[in-house]
Amino acid sequence: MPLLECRGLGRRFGGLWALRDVDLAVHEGEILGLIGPNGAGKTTLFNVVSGVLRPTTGTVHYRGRRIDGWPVHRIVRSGLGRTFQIPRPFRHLPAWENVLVALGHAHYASLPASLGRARTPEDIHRALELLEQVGLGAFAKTPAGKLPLGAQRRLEIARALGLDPALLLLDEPMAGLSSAESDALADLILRLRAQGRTIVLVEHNVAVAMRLCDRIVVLHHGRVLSEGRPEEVRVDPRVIEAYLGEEADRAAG
Amino acid sequence: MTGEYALTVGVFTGIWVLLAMGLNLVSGYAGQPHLGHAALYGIGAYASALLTTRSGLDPWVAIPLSVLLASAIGLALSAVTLRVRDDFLAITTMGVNFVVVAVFLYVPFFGGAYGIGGVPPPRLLGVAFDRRAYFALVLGAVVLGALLDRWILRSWLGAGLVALRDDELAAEASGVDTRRFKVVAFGIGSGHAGLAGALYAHFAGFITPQDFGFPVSITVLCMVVLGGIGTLRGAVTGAVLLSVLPELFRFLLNYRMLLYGLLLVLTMRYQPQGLLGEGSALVGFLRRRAVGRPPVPRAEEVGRAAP
Repeated sequence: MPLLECRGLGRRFGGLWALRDVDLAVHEGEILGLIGPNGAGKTTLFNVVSGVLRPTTGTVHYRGRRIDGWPVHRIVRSGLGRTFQIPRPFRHLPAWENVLVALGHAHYASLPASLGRARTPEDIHRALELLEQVGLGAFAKTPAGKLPLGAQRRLEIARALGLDPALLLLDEPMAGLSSAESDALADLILRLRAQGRTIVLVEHNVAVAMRLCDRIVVLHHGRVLSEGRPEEVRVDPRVIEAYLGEEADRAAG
Repeated sequence: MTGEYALTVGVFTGIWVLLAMGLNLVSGYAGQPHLGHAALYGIGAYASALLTTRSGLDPWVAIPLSVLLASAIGLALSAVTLRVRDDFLAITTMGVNFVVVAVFLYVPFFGGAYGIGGVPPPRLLGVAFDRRAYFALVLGAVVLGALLDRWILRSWLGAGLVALRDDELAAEASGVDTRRFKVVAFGIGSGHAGLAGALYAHFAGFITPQDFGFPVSITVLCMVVLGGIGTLRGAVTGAVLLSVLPELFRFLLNYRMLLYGLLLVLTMRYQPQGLLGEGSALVGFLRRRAVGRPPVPRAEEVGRAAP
């Protein structure tokens, strides 16, 4: 049984289908790359899977349970963490408290539990540990809004890890990072997989995705265009055409 | 200032502090605009007044019941109104204030424009509370409210509230049930207002609809913003300042609303964190004076401090 399974997933905005008939299975322990030209529906897919958007058609199953229609907080509590392409830190809270908020995921479900004491020594220790893991240990006390973009992206990952997710959806974590930063992030992603987490990675940079992922799904105009191992996808004429087509459009426009 | 007079000012100040703490929970911690706080204040006051004068309950029973009722009504109202956000929520809560005052004014059961008189003071061992005793009672209520607020801020509920104030979607994606947390914040904040109202009714002895009008909501907002929204110390300081200052400068009394409006504008323009809010000029100054105590303990330090 796949960890995550989408069947016939579609999402319409007005007259436009941002996603159409997407079938997708994510297997335990893999790093799955989700690539495609701009506007292909990658972020929409993340939003539908994580409950931010409701699907217009189709279903999403996580660990065999149907989760579409669940509110976001319930989906993430069941072990499905995500990051945002444009970082959404809690701007006024220091970096470590950003992580702390996610560490509370087990306490938020019932009122008595949510009245329990936060910021116990264990919580603080765990939050700092996760910040260290993404290389933000030195910025623990910095208000998240004051961190540079690259650090905010890593903070997104640390916060998602605070949920202790079995499945981690990373939305373009490399965008706007220097090559040294993005190498460090690639190492981190591999380490997370080694911890037993499954990862779905949206990546605009095809070369990075090819290097990092076990399997790649190419989206184009909201549909799955191609799927397979990186070396298979790389030579798929439809994929080449989709990307070249984009270049041609850009040249023409 | 005579002692009796000072005690009266003290009682009213305590009531304002309770109101400010309640609004701070909703607008400060949870970040939800709320311009109808006085409606819940009025509900607490009318509930306690009616329960004692009409139903003949003892104030010691009526006051807690009124707190629960205000809390429950706050919960129910927010469950409905929280479908809207931001400016719309501000306007909706303002509307709630007007509706509640209109109900007090036009439904005969609530005594109309004359309000309700003869609200008895609480008694202890058969002796009615004098001002000194009442001041002690209000002080106790304030301390209780402050302890509750501190508890909340240190809990996961508090962590979730300040998170959703910054970014609701990110809070959801961190596992916070943002809708439920906002409703809970409204409920507890309304409880504070209900307690303030009940204490007001039993102290003043009679209440009228105007005591709970929209200007009262704005006054509380002013206190919270001036003191520093989102901090307990700010809410308390703002409430104390704005209730004591006009008493010291009596000539200001007629211009009270003008002064509050001006203070609100100036605070928002020059020091939106308020006097004692996180990151305000004054707090920064005091922090620099106090020899650099870091606000956040490192794990090592925490580990050392733990038994």
